[in-house]
Amino acid sequence: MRREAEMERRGLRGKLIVSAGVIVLFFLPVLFKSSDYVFHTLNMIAYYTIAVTGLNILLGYTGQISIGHAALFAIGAYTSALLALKFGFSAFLLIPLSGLAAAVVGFFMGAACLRLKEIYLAMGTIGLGGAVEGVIINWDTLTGGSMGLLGIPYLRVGSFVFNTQYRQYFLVYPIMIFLLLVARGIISSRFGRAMMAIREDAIAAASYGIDTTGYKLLAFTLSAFYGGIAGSLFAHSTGILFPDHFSMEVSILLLMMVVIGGRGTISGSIMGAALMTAGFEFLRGLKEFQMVIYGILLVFFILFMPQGIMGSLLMRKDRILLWLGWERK
Amino acid sequence: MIGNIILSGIPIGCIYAFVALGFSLIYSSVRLLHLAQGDLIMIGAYTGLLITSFYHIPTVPLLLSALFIVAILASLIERFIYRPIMYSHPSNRIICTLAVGIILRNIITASGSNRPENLPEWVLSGEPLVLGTRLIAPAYYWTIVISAVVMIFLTLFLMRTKVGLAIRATAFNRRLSDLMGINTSFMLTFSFFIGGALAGIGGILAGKVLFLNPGMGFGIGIKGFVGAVIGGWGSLPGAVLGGLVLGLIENWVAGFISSGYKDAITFVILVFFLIFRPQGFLGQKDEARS
Amino acid sequence: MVGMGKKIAMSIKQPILLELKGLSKNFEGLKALDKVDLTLKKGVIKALIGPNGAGKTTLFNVVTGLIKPSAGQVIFLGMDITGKKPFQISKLGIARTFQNIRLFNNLTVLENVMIGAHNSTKANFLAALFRLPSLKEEERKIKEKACEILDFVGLSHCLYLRAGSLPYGQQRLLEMARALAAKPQLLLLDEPTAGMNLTETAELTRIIKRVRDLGVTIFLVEHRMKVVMGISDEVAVLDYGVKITEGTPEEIRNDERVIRAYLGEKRSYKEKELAGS
Repeated sequence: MRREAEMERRGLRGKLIVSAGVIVLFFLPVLFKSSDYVFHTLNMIAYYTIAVTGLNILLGYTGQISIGHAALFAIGAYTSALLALKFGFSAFLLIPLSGLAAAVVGFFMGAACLRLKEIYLAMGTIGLGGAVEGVIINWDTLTGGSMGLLGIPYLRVGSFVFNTQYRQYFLVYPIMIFLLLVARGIISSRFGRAMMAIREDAIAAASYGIDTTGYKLLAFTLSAFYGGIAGSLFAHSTGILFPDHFSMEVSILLLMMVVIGGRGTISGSIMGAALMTAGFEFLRGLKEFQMVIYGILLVFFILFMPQGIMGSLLMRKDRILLWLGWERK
Repeated sequence: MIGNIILSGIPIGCIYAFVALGFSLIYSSVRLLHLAQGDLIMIGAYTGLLITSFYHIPTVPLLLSALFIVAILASLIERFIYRPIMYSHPSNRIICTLAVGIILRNIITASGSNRPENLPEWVLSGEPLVLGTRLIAPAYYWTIVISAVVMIFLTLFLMRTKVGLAIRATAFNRRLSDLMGINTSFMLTFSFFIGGALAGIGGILAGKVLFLNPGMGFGIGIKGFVGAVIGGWGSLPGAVLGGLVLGLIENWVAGFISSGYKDAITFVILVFFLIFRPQGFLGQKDEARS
Repeated sequence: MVGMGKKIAMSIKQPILLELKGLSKNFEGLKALDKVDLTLKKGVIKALIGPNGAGKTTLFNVVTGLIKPSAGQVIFLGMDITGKKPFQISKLGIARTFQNIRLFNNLTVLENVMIGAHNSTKANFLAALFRLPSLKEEERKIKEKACEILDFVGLSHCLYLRAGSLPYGQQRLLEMARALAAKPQLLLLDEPTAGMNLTETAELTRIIKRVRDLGVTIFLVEHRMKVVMGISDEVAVLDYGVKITEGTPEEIRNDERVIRAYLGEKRSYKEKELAGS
């Protein structure tokens, strides 16, 4: 009885924090209206967060490895850009369609590989990454090839055009938050549990009624969908697309964000995306050393903190809360 | 035309076979998809570059030096990076190999630019071989010869020696081998030693046959493991076969279709095999789900 | 004696739950199972014993669909389930525990049991996406049921602990709890008391009996003769993949062939254990 009251109080407290967060996210930025750079960074974080959340569902929760995720990001980006250039669709159409395009590719990819052993998925996704990059570069009549796809229009809803980073912020962040909530919904349901069961022990999972291939396919398709949406938002923000944006390196960076931020946690995706984006900005001067540092960081995390930053924090949640004086033992 | 394709396809196929062998060997021993294998080849090539920029040493010592340097590097990587996570979730381990690859690649990139694109003239030198109306470059025929020698040596080693048997036993069942008195810890590292050795030699060969650049490892790596897949994942003869076949097909595409799509065809082949024959030519059928 | 008669009478009346017909499994020349015939009646506790390597776990794996047999059939509730996938078989009402404990280590005790009840969940995907009330209701019910089961096995004190951090004996109890959450008609227990001390074993034995009283049919692989003799209604003996005999615990205990199978030709403490328990 008392426990329930306490949980209700905690629930209320949680809701207050969330409301405060929403207020901060939406009204504080008005103060910084003039700083386009800040919003550009914030938006970048959002795109990566969306893509990383998708990848997290696949890797962190279901334990499946996908090494060519940038390919799905690319499919979303180019689909959105080309549809916008040819048909001038509104954002309402472009964004879901790009997500869908990526999801379809993800679905077929998954259907081909997931019935095989795990390493085949790794190989298959590398193949996908390379193939998509190859198509982008070689089919230059469609994609602009190495010269890039130029002049991508801004997203618009009706006659309102999101032509500044500031304006895009108010489109991108609600979408991001919505997608995060959806992800959380999946995770804390039987679907999420089934996925985690597959990660922990696929044989036991199958023995308890979980169609492992089916759920892996679900996870893969979802992660592709998220990647596609992220790609679409990215394309209309930067206005130009180069094959470079979708190389294997980018795929690996996405994996890094999952691992460092915290696999198997939603907040980890945000943390990973934020840290890496900040890292890009600050370490830009170091150029190639940047990647060496990232590589070393990744090895470090896998060896010593495979749960990632948020993962480790959440594991020690009770001790931290105790330390903060918010919980009683 | 066919003749040309075969003549230039086989040496490249041999290099792919080296990578494929490395992959298969390491996977058989440690159940790890070692995505940094191609980058080890790149290190082999750059090691050769480094050595030859200081010393004018003949080919065989160069090969041996590269062999040992890369082999030791691989052993160290195994011992200190891969071993601690040996029982982690497979996805973790694979990501770790990716990370190692990134580090290797970018250290080389970051440490200098404007380097020669090939190993010097005297490496793998000789008279061009005349075959009917064709001239085969020395680098090409040496590649074939050296590859053949290495393959034979490796086969003999694994099949006929005690150590080879120990490696195969450890790969089959580590705990059981432990109980039999085999130092399995050493065997695991030794498997990487051999994988590194293969990469070292392959690197020198690649340094003559292909163009040197820090990113070459990844590309070769992918080709190598596609070779291992189509030949039969986990099967050593399959790896060699797959590598050679891939080299030939690639060259054929470059000759008849276009060289731009040369890389894309690799992925098409991969997807084709994954869908229709995941076990490759020589692999076991039950490489599918279990 | 009267109790015996009643038991026999009851078992004759009960329907057949599981039937294995001529089940064989070859692994590259090794005959793991050789034309095994077995029947399980509803409500019975049947033990499968035999020396190490006799094929007991292989038998379980074939029944639950993890391995395809080379020949023969598995018939459950009159349905031929041979070769069906594990997740399909589980939905028909068979649950199992594993010899080597396969828990979802990084998940909590409660989550492990909730996953056990996966077959009872029906919430559809959209409900999950938007956290509709129907989903929340189902979650609440599953959580409640899981808590009940954990209470039943005695693990209520560690609901939110990581499953992998539990001591060995409690991990086995957790495996049992997870299996119970699947509301099985047939429960396969693969060496449930392996590695447990005497107290834990007694506790688990008690729980198994209570589970049977709830109407679950139990098929267990067990090495400890005391446990086998104490709770089984019937015992089947496997050796080198062949079922050498079957019968009541008393019959088996004194069967020459069984003793020889375990011991070879020499007598040893095992035989004394068989004779004495």
